[in-house]
Amino acid sequence: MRAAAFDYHAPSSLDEAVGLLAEHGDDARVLAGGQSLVPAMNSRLARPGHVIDINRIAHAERPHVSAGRLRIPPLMRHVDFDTLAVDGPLGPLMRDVTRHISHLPIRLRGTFCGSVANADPASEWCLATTVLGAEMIARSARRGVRNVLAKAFYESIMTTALADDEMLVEVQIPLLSPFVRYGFHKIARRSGDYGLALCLVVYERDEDEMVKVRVGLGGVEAVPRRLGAVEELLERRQPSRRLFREAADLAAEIADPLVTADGDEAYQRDLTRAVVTRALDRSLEG
Amino acid sequence: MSRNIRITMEVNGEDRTIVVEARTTLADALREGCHLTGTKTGCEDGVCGACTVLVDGEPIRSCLMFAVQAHGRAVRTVESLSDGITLHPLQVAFHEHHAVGCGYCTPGLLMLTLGALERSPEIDEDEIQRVVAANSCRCTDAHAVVKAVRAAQTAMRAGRE
Ligand SMILES: Cc1cc2nc3c(=O)[nH]c(=O)nc-3n(C[C@H](O)[C@H](O)[C@H](O)COP(=O)(O)OP(=O)(O)OC[C@H]3O[C@@H](n4cnc5c(N)ncnc54)[C@H](O)[C@@H]3O)c2cc1C
Ligand code: FES
Ligand code: FES
Repeated sequence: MRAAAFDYHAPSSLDEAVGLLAEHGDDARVLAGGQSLVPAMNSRLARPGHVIDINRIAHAERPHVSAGRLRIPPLMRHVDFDTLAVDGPLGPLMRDVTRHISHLPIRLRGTFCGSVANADPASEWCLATTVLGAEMIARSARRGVRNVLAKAFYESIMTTALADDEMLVEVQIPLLSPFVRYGFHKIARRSGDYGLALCLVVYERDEDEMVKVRVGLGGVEAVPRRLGAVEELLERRQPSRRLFREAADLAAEIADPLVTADGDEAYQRDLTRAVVTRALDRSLEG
Repeated sequence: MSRNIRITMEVNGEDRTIVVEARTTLADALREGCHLTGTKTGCEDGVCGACTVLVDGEPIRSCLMFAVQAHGRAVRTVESLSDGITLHPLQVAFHEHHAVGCGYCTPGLLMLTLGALERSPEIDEDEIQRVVAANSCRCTDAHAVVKAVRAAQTAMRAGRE
């Protein structure tokens, strides 16, 4: 099938882009990498009357660091995280996560901000922004700029706090302490597919204990979420296989799986147990 | 802006000016607008990779890019690889290593692996395997494709020296 007809706009600045969004509102869509929007348009799940292609906006590709945050612009692609975006553990963490997103041709086009705006429950970046406490910077022509915390940003499946006339102009991620350890794991049917379950674990080592523990689960529920009870169980404890097993069991118990056509609930809980165990195990490697 | 748009892109080294609808994909523009039918489409959903071409040197899914987005850019398709007499080292290697079955996926695989080798000429076997996994083939053994790309990598290196 082919996309429904639309008017094409190629703004050369962010001002112009948000101006077009203000003008066309819910009949317009931002086109970033197109790796989610174009399939949706080709199958007519999406039929915007106006497409605002942001790929010709200059200086929207490179990240920078300021005030203790990594600031990610709208045209930074998945593949750009292959080279370390920042010093400290955040750079390698982002590199390890991005390698799980699909394959080279998709990674060359797809953008970080596009993934965040798209809010797929199984998106790597939606999980990472949730666990890392990112802030999303939304901008509209009429109301200017506002910041939304990841926790409030993902509202439900493919639905975010962005209004129809708002563009995601930046995502800010707080830098990580040098004592941070992390583990990421994804379970997918085939390499390069969206994950069935994903888990990202981040904590600091204080002597032998884990502190400031963060455990996020993606792909299983409607939106990625930090599992508070699991974090409490691990806080100020020494890592061990046995403790990790206990934490994974708890995660499986408290997860609230999406009911999908091809997965039954028990299977989703098994996936949760497995993915949390492996992410925790990974945090001890390297 | 209008729904019918005149675009100019460099296709296999030549400037081509065509009129497309905004919704026309690059894959359709190449096949129907430029009459270059080497580029195939399968899923038109970004999954299979049959439509892979190079845009400014990067291997991308041409079913997921609108043709208007290629305005002012350089596109390379499988037709650029050979003049019909001498084959490109990748084509030679695919032939020698039996990496072609029905051939439907081959143009996509050739452009994918060419793009990957041009970006990183020294990628190792693991990385080649990861690259090749991006595209689906329903006939051949993926190991044959990986072997062919390894052989082509050596031939291309020798060609550069
Ligand atoms: C075969 C295949 C496999 C994939 N596998 C994975 C995977 O394993 N994991 C994964 O996370 N993703 C996967 N993806 C999706 C890919 O990561 C996309 O790149 C990503 O979801 C969307 O980014 P994009 O830049 O392509 O956005 P687009 O497709 O251009 O846009 C997606 C949505 O976000 C909106 N949008 C984009 N940018 C902005 C902005 N700056 N402000 C406001 N709205 C915006 C668009 O209007 C649209 O609604 C896969 C895609 C394909 C085709
Ligand atoms: S036709 Fe483009 S990826 Fe299948
Ligand atoms: S050779 Fe037939 S699909 Fe690959």
